[in-house]
Amino acid sequence: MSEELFDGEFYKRLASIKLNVKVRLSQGLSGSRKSTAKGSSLEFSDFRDYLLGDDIRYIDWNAYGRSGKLLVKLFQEEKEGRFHIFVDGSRSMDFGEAKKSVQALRIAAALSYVILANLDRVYLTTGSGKGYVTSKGLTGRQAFEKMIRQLKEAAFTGKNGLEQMVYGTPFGYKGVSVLISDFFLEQDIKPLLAYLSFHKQQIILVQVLSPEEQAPELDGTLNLLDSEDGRNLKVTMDAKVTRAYSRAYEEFTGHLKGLCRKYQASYVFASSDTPLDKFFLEAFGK
Amino acid sequence: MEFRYLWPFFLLLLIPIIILLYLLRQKTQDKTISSLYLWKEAYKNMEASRPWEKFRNNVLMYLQIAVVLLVILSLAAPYLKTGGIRHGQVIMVLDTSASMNMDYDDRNTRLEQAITEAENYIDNLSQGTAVTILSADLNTTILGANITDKLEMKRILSEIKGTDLPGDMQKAAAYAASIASQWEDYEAVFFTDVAVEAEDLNKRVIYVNSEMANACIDYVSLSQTEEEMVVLAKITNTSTAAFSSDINFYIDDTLMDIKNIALEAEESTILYFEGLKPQGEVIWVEINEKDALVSDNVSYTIREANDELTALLVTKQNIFLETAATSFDQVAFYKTTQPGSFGEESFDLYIFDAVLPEELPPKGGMIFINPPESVAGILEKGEELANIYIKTVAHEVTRYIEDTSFGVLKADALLPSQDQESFLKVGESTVGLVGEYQGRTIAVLGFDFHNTDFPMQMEFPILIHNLISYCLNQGLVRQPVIQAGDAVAIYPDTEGADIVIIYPDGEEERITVDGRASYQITLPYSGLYTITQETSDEILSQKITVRFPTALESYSDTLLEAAPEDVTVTEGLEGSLEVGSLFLILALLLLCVEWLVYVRSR
Repeated sequence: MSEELFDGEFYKRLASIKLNVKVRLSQGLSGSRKSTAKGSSLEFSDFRDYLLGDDIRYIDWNAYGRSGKLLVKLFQEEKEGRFHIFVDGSRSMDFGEAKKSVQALRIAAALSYVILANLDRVYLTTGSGKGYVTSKGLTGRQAFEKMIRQLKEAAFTGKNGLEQMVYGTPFGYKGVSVLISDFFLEQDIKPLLAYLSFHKQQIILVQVLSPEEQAPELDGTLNLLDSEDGRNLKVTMDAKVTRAYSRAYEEFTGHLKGLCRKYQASYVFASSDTPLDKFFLEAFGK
Repeated sequence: MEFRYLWPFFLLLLIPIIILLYLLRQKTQDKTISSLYLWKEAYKNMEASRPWEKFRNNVLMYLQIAVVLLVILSLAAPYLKTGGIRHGQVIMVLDTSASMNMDYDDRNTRLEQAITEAENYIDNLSQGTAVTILSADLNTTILGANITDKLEMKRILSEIKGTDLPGDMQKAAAYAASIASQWEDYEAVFFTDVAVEAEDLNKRVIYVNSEMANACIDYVSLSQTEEEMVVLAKITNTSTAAFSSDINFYIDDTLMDIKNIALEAEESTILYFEGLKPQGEVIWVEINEKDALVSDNVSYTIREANDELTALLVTKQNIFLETAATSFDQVAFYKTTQPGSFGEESFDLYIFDAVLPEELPPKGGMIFINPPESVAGILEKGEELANIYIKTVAHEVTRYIEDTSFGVLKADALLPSQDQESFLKVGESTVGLVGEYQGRTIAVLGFDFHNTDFPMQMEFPILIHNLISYCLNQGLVRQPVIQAGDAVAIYPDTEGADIVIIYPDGEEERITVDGRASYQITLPYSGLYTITQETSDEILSQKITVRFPTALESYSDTLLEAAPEDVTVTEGLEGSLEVGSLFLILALLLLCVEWLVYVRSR
């Protein structure tokens, strides 16, 4: 990856980005995120009746004095969040006047930054097909450099690698899976979402598309070649074809959004030419 | 809907060219994109993998093709039939006789008008009608049979040329009737200026007559002595209006005299040009004023050199023969009773009456009358006939005495050889023949004039005159003045080169000399011809003139008197609605649409 991928401007903008993840984490290592699991941390959460086997250290004796009932103090257990970030490394991502791959990597970096700053754990998967790379669970601000290194080395040369990356990842805990891709997949993404949902993953789909893909400005009769498999399609551009493409595009994104609603996933769209802070403001600033 | 012209359909070739241009223009460019995913979705029903599918939405191309089609249709002059001529077969007869060269109006001759009418008739024919085209003058000729292509019909019509021959439309009608006898659904249509009578024929006659001023020179004749020559010319006004003109008289190319004539309708006059010294070869007279028919305004005669020919008459006593023969001005006759040795002295002609020479004279023509016995190679006698009736057979030597017959008490039948031709017959038996012997002309009569009443008839001296003319060695042509349509006999040197006939317009015709003694030629145009032949020691050359058949062909109003109620023109045939302009308007509208589409697509 070029040096401009993560320049000074990028780091400056990172500081202003706040990520708001809706997932309430209940499993994993302790961390700064509040878990819905009640546990032994210092932050009080609620009372409940004492049950046999409860740790007697948590019996609120003052309450017992006032009410004569054995009540146990419940504390909100603090746990670290586990984030899986998958960056689609297929060749189709390496396209666009403003390259989709650059935008995808920057989004991945920014998300990682925010996650690490929250003392959560992040797993970064880059590459495609069988050649994908998954980082160890990284945590702490010092791990960000490793992240950046992996992102810089990410290659966009493969074909349709997202499924293999996801299916190849062991999800031990609840967590958040962020899929950054154009989602031009051969297979429907529905089984993939079902798989992630089954593994109690809160899903965030970040679709990165270039302006050319959103509204192609082509003319004449063209032999369109697929960058991944070299297959071709002859088209003669006219108003009717353009309309058909727009319709297909809307149906495609509509389909993705529909699936997201079904699996309670979040859908975020990122045009490859949108500045990063603007993207985060629009996508995660609510 | 039918089309007047088929040639515009060749322009259909433009359509593949237009498509090809679009194909070339739409050369595909390779363009690599991230993924075909969305394109495949969009293009599920729009794939253009085959070249022609590229044009599915190419409205401009379709419009252009439609415009070209409409223009082609418009050029093909389409029309809707609302009547017209519908027959399975059509015979078109175009009169090409001399009178058809007469002016029809200020621009066209009758023949040109006839061709225009014929083309109009063809236009009105329903498609697929088989047409047979005949030209009719003295003879009837098939120019094309069972043609269904209108262009081909018109091409044949355009090649028709008039002649100066007399016409015989009755013969043409009979010819057409014989062709049509095999058909049920047919029409014979005549384009002519004379009445056509053929009751059994389903015919339509399209007349191309018009009253035009015309005068003609019927003939020019010459009479000469050693000192003086007199030329007379008969001139007739053949139209119904008064006519006046100067008449020019020429000897060879020198204008000798001009006389003025003024003739009332159908009046004739004879002009004399006298006080002339015998001179020149071609004597001719010309009407100075232009009239409807040019060909009959000039007439020629040929003056023959007064070289005296000699003939030896060997007869014991035959007053009929002597009287008839010696009336031949141009021949000096010598008479003897005994054929002796001919020695050095030779004659141009020998007449042997009831005797045979001991040996044949070395050269010159020979006439044998009532020969006592057969002569090898010349004549072979057959059975003896008694109380018979002799009839003339059409031949050059029976000219002017056709259909003559006379009785004979007894005669010897003659057995003609392959080269000999009969001119007198009794049933199938020949009693008079002519032929060739070693390049010399011979004639044989198988009876004695004393045993017949023939010398009492006026045809007798004519036959003797014709026989003497025929047998005298008189150069290439013995009849220098003939009527158009008559055959002229050419007698070439059998050892010489080709005969060359130079026509009045300078065109040449060659006849290969193949050993025959004479060649019969019919010359179709009036005027002055030159016939030449190169022999081993000289170039033979002789002028002949063909006279225009004025009595038959110079009158402009013959038909109107004959059958005025029959006069029709093809304009009455019109039964079509022209729709070509409609297609043109549609093409213009489409062009406007194309322009709009073009502007909107930019």
